[in-house]
Amino acid sequence: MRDFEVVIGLEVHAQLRTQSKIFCSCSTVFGLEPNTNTCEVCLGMPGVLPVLNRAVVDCGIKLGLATGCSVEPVTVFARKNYFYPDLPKGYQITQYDHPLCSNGHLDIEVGGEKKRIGIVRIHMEEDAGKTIHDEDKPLSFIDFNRAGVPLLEIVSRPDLRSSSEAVEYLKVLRLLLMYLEICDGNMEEGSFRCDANVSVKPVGQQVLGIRTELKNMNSFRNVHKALDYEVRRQIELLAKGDTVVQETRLWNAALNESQPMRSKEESHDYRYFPEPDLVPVVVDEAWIDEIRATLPELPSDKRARFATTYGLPSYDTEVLTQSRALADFFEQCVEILDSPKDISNWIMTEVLHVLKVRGKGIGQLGLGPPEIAGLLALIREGTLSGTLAKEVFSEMVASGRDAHSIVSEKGLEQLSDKERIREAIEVVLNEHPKEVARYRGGKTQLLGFFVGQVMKATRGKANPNLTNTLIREMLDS
Amino acid sequence: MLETARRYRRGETTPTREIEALLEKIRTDDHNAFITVNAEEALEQAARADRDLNEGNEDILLGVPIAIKDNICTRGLPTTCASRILSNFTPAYDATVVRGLRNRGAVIIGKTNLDEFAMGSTTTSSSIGPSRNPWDRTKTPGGSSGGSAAAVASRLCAGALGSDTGGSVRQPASFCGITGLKPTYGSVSRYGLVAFASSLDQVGPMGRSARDVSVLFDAIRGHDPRDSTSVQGTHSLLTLDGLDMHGIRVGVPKAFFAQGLSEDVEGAVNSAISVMRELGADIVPVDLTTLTYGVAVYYIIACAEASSNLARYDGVRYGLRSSDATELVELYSRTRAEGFNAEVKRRIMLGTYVLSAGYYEAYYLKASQVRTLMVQDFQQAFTRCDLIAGPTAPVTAFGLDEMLDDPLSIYLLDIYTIPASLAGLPAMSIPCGFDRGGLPIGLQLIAPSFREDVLLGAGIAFQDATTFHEVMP
Amino acid sequence: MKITEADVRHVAGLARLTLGEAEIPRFIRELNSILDHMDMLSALDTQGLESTVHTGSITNSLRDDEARISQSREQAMANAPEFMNGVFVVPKVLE
Repeated sequence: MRDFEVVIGLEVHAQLRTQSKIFCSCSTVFGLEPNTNTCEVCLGMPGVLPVLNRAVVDCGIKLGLATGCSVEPVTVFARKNYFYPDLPKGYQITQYDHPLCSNGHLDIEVGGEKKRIGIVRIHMEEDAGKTIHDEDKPLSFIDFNRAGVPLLEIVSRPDLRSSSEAVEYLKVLRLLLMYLEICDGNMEEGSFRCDANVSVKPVGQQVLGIRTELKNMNSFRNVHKALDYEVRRQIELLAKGDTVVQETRLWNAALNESQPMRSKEESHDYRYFPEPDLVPVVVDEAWIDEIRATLPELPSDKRARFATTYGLPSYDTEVLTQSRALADFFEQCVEILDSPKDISNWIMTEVLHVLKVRGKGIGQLGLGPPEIAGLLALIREGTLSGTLAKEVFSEMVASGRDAHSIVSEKGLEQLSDKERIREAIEVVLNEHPKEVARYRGGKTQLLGFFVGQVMKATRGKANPNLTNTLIREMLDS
Repeated sequence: MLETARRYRRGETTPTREIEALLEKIRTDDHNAFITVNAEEALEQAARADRDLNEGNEDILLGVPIAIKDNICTRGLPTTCASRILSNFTPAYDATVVRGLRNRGAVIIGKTNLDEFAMGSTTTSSSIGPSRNPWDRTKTPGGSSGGSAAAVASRLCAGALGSDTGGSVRQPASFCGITGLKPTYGSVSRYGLVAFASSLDQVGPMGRSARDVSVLFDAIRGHDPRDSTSVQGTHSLLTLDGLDMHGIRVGVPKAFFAQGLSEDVEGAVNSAISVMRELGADIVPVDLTTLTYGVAVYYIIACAEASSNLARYDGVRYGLRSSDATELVELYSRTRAEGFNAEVKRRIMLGTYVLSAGYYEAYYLKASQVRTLMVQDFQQAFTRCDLIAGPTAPVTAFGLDEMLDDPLSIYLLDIYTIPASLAGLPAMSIPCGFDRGGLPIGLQLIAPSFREDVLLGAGIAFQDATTFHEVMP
Repeated sequence: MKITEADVRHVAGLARLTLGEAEIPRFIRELNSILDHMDMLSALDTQGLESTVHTGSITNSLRDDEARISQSREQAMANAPEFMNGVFVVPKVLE
């Protein structure tokens, strides 16, 4: 393995979260009954014509600006001609030699090392419909709901040198698309898809090896596995003295292997030519400025700011910025209660745990920053112990009520009355004369045991620090 | 059309009576001009027009019977493009031009014959067989809008819509002795016009006179948000008056009188130019040296676009599906082989070839560049003249049994109509005489972009001074 | 000859047209004759010349992003040669 260098380039298709399709007014809503989201235009009926959705250009410019691309002053569409039953017109309207954006980059970090990955181009195009294959009969079924949903295709330079870099690039790109609110990033539903061009070459060789194209990887895990599989396969071939065949291969997640596509492709002669039904799109400075003004703080900038403003470690900044909504949630909490690290810890452990279990986003937590900050304030002022706080939090999540009312209703306020704690300690010491003797004989580690017993006796309400001090006082006297 | 409107207003007839009479005439007519006759709906529209007329609706188009070429979509009425592949296709939508006519109260009398997918110039390559020329039933009416031209010439409708990609309105107008306009590219919506070559196709009005054509053009032109290539707001008002030809410079390109032009046509066109001189026009020679490249450029671009536009006919969502295919590629290939005629296949083959890897630069790209030269050639010419005049076609209608076997020779007959198409310019054919066999001859006038007003005004002035357009077959 | 039998078969494959054996020699003849005529363009120097795709000068024909109610599924299927349960049916597609 060490003698070969891996070269990977990625083509990502991101479905845009516009209201309507790219060339007609059908809705882009996912998951409707088959063929209910269609009209004569997206079904490619005779005589119909496409009209470009302005919001698609807006999305493209947004991503272009966020990736340091230059935006073409005049961008045009082209037809890519091929036959497939889910491609209604027998051609896909896409862009060829004047893509919307070109020459940008994304920065990734793998194993602590930063790396800049080039982006060749970003262009607009329409999605195809869906082909469903029958299990038993030699039939396929076509649903055109997805036909005409807008896509951005983002083509990287072949700058990626491992599957880990490839997956990291995809994660960074996906997060960016979600920050920009132009794509929901859902890989399973296919709103974020990727194809990979993979080749290997002996280290030091300048000329690239023969590459294969990998398709059908619908999760980061599959991308990882498929790329590793393909790299291994190619190296084994070369090591045997065989050559790699230039082909398209489909990843089969069930079998954990890739297979060449069976369909006979007419040597990929797509016969691109300028789309005569659409006119050029002129993107002037004013348009670009207008979009620039809507750009949110990007993930990398947000991470840096969280580190300097709130003094958070890089792990925290990474986790908290995994979505714009989560980052905003955190900041709103901090605004109410100035304890960034406590809030960060609570969000990273308790809040994200609940969301993960429920498979939901921060927006569906049912609790807002005031509730979370309120809970943490109770801990900070000593009203609530950390252990009980978790219980209270579960109750809050279940009922949507605030911490204060739960705490007072259940009488969970921390016990800080010295006399009452002393009483409890006395009972414990009387019940455990042997341990008391051993402690006094020098076995001071038993302190924890006594604290535990006191906690048990007070149902966790005793203030732990106070309990600690009092037990020591009483045993040492 | 204006005539029909006048007769309604004078109470000489009513829309219902007019439509009933026409439907009867169409039933017994043998020019094979119609693919579908819209009898039932036409009578409903006529009845509505009767009422509206009584209520004082002044619209010229109210109750006026218009025929529509069968490559223009009509809601609920079959739209076949004279092709087997669409023989059972009924759109659920109207072309924008049809909707415009309906909104004005016009009666859609039926769908007219054409060369399959408008590819041809004889209306012989139709799934229902050839249309016949009203001046001589043994001759072609021209094409591809031959059904519309024959219907207008034999008075089976008051006016008609055709489509013109490389001459398909003008040439049949010329062969059938009527007036036909190909508007500036972008001035009439293409939405609902079944695409042949998207960068060239335009719907065009056909009528008995330039005034009728003007009325029809006024009804169908204008911006359509559903057609990205349709132009906003550069249109002038309805032209019903003749243009004062004094000081109008009429350019006559030498290249329009080249080898292959029939003597009779040359004579008639020269006389027509003399008429314009007598009306006050200045006749000036202009150069259009790129004319000879027109046919080559046109057939490369039109076929390339057609090969892509016709890819949607695959037997999946609508249209013919071959019954003996068990596998997908076979389904496509058989459906398309069974559904398209020889001419359509030839153009798809040619278009696929000129776009394919290794040939794109030499053919498609080259042709697109030469097209630029042709556009510039016209721009240059229009610095020296306001209108260009010449023949519409080098010949008059030929016999259905004299059909040329060699496709190239047929393509070369489009030489005079193609240049305006490639340059996107408005062009019109108006009757200007008859050959020794009594067949009509057309004069072609070409104007700068969006100067249909000049074109129509000149046509009206010419027709006010001549009677060729009034002669009935 | 510019176009050979192999070219004709290749192009027919790209265009998804089944050709009868009799059609092949005819296409070879006709396409060659047409392409010979088209070759007159090669004599022209077009170096650096813009190509014309549109004769108009319109740009930015754009639509606002508003979704409208789609047509009914019955309408979508009205002309379909074969369908069931709301989907179009075709012979099996090989991946």
